[in-house]
Amino acid sequence: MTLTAQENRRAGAPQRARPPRRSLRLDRFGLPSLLLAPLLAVVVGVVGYPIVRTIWLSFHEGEYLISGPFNGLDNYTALFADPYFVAALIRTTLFAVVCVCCTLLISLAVALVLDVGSWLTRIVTVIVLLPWAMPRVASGIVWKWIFNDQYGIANWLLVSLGFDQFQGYAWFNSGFSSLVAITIAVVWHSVPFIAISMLAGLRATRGEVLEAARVDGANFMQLLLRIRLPMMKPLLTILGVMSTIFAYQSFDHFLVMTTPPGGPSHSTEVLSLLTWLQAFTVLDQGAAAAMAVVTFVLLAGITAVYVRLSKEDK
Amino acid sequence: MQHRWRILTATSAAAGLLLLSACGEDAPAPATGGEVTGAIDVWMGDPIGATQQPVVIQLAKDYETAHPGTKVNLRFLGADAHKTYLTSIAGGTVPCVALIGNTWSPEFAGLKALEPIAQDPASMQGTYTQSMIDSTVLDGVSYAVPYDTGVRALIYRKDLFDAAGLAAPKTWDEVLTAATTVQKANEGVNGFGIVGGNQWYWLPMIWNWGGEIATNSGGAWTAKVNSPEAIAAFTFYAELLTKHKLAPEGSVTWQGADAAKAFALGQVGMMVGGSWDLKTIIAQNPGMEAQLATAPMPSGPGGNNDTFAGGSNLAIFKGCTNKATAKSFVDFMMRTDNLVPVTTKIGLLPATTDALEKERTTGSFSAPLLKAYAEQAPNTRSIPAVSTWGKVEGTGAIVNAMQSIMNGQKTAEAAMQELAGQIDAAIGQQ
Repeated sequence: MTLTAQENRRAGAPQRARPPRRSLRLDRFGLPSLLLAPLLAVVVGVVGYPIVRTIWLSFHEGEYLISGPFNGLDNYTALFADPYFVAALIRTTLFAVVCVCCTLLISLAVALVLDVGSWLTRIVTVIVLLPWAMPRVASGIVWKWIFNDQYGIANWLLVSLGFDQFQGYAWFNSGFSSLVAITIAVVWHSVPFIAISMLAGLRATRGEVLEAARVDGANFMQLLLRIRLPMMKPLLTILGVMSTIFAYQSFDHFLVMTTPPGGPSHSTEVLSLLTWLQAFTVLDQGAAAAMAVVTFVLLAGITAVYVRLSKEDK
Repeated sequence: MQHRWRILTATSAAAGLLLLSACGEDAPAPATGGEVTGAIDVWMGDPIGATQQPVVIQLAKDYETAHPGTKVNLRFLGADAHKTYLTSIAGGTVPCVALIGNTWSPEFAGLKALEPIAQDPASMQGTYTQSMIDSTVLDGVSYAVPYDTGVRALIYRKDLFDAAGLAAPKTWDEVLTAATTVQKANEGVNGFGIVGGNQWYWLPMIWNWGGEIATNSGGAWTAKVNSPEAIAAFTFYAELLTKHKLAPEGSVTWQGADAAKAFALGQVGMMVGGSWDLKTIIAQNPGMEAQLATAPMPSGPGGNNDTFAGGSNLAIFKGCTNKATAKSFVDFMMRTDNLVPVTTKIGLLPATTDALEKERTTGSFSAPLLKAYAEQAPNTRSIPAVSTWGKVEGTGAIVNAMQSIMNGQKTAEAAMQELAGQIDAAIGQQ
């Protein structure tokens, strides 16, 4: 049995390269950890610290941006004893449900149109992305003008369509109509990102499966509901989580569009706005932190439910 | 494993919501040398905007020339000054001198951030507009020097009033009559510019009706907005909209600028407005200037026409390490010759009596349209001088109360009772 030098090298190379046993741990755990350490430090600093600090603050008195003594659950009991907070909690959740449903449905429709793939698609894609590029405060101001009772084009349009009751209709006089206007503004702002993500998802579902279904005589709705959407489930879960978080985070539109922020007479107060008011105008960091923790727990819970749902279906 | 990571990433995205952190450290102990030399930081927020900055920059240069060895580091904060000051107080990085909103003065003093100006505020009487002195006081000590005053007066359409044979209303009842007459006589004109979204346009009516916002007895503040006078005042204002329909429905959420815009478009016959609102109207519709007239605020059943004194005070921060220069710079800024050019550029009244007199008789406020503001200045009051007043304003409690009356969600009694509770919770003894 003779081996050429080349074969010798080939056979011997792996043996020489095989690491000694004791350094195996270093390779599998040590080195990756070492390489990840800087990033982890950043994540812990940027995400971990604020969370821990907020939770810590929520158990302390915190007036005037200065942390006071430990006060147990006082901040939390005070929160849930406040009818305006409880109302805001329910309002935020309802607002989020409506926002998420509208955003996902409209985004899907937009994505399906874009998916048709004509030459127009590229141009339309750019146009669809534009709202996303707009600063939220700016879009809030524009939407406030659109819904202005005297000069807004929303009323003009509705009156032109024959709805005469919208002549001088003051959208921001009542909580419900304010929330309708704000929902439209928020959905308008969230649709582009979700729609583009869905478009990517839809593109990925093209190919053999779709072709096979078409050959079997499936129509458009069957293709969409039985094949494409189920294939996109993991993506839809993530998009659902993201738009839920977007909706709970909605702040700028509420701040800009309502007078006073959260008004009239508390009727558009949502968690993010109340947290901000509590922290930076009432200057009670403790109560604000407690509100933030409640929001955080709520969102973490919703996220877990989403993930669980998507896992069960796999 | 994979889904756990997904939870992790998703929850950390949620964590983006939570960005609340604060730190509180005391400022370094001030080293008070007696010499006027060295650098000072001077911060100014609203109302010192782009048009006023050159004047202030020139004044700072003049000061440096007059006091060799000094340096004035100016910083303009814009509209978000309040939060900047609070953060700087919490972080211990305060400026030496700052132009602060007059309603913030007791608040910052309560945070022990300001250097006392006068142990006995009575010593300032006569030198400054009284209501502005009141705005600098906390627990009997004055913590700032009054700088500029913003007051409101009645702005009305002289042409429409003349045509209807009306004179400037002197009482709130006459306001109602005149507004109703003007609205009836002119198609498309609203009788009165209601500003439901800004309390400063109608909160002072409580004083006009003989009531108080809150009273102080022995250091403890009690809300008085549930008094019959206060309820009557708020009811009167709300009924201008609900009963007499003297403004569009949307005025429930109007700010001063909305009313001014409607006024400039010829859709409003009369409004309460500051000199800044008057400026806005003329800027938006220069042709209207000849048809405008102003008058001092109307008085109510309480027999006074007091309105709120808005404005700014110059304060020296406790954390300032160069107080001698800071004090000398404040004195320099308060000289009539240095004060008037700035206040004129802002379009507000100077807060010193001498400068006010000069402005009223020969200065920019001697113009027929502006005279009413100078005349109104002595009839002003300050908000309750309590450090926690910011909480009342911050939550929009007062505006919410008025809006719930206007929207018919609550009776005036119920709304004012709730408001009294909220004010007590904010400024009453803890």
